[in-house]
Amino acid sequence: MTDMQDDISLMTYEQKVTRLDEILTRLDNSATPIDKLAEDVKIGARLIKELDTKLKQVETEVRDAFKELDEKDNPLQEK
Amino acid sequence: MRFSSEKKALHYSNLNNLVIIARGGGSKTDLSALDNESIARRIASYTIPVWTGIGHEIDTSVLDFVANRYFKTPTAVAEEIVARYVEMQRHLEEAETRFRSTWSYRLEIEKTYIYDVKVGIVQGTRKLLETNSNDLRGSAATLSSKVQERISVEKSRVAVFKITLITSPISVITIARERCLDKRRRFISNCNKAISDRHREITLMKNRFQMSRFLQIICQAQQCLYDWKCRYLSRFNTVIMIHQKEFDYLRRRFKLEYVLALIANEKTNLTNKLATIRAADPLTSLKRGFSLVYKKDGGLLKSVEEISTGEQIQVTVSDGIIFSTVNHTIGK
Repeated sequence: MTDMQDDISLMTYEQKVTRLDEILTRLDNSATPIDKLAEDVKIGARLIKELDTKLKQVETEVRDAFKELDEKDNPLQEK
Repeated sequence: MRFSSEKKALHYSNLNNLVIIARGGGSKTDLSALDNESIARRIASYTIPVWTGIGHEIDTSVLDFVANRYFKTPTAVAEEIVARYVEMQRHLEEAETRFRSTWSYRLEIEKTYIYDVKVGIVQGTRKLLETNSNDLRGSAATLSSKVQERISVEKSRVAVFKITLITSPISVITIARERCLDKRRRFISNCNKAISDRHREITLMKNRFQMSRFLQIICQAQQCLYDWKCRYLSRFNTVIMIHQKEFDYLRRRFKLEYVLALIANEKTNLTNKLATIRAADPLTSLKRGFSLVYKKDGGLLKSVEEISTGEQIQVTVSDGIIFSTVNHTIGK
């Protein structure tokens, strides 16, 4: 389990999305064993959490850039 | 001729065509004065002939040797001169005779020629006058006949006019004359007015279409255009710079908004995926009251046909596992 967590931490955002899509595909498959299903659910939840964290981080950075842009480089405000 | 000195001889030599040195008879002593070297040299230098006739036939002087010709005595010199004079006179008489005959013949020829020319001029002039006189007579006759003809034509026309005037009422002629005069006056007035109007229009057009005026207007327009161009170019550049800044700002802002929209979209996707995962979680179903039944070998039991009566099974619920034995199965 620890190895899996390290593996996920090293992934890029796109790799995590790809992995999540694979898990979702498996969840739709009824032939997937229940144990595998439970493990996929855990991994998927973790992936979603990390992706959400990353999105929030990027959103914060974008909003900071917005703020800086509006305060310093806004010619409309200068008028 | 007697020489008293050398100077005298020289004087005479400049005035004559022939110098004769003569001395009649005499003794040798008298003649010795003529054997003079200086006189001899002077004679030798003369440009005119010098004859000598000195003393008797037996006398010989130095001058005889330097003279052009010498004679024995002065008499011989005189004889020679007389003979030459007679000969020359005879030549002159012959020349005069030849001259007279030649020129009298030439005068006759010229007189004949002048007479012929005179006769020719008189006859030619008379003939020319006769020809011109004939031509003039012909022209006069033609002119007279044409004048007579024209006079007769004019007489006929005048007669016709006279008849017309006699037969036409005077009032009609007067009215027609007045009309003509009135038309003439109106026509002249209209023409003058039209000419005056055209002249005024032409003057106005000339003033309007003066080249200098056009050039001045064009220069003013060019200057105005240039000023406008500079003014609006400056304004345009300023506006472009302002709009460029605004555009850059909006472009960056749009990029950031686009990123935020992507993030929101991703969040929505993640939310949907989380819901899907939660819905697929077997624990959630177990918590709702569902259970999982496993066979003895650990496989999930999904059908009554997979199990027989008496076999052991494991029932997993939300908080534990139930071990049980199958007593009876009923298929749907």
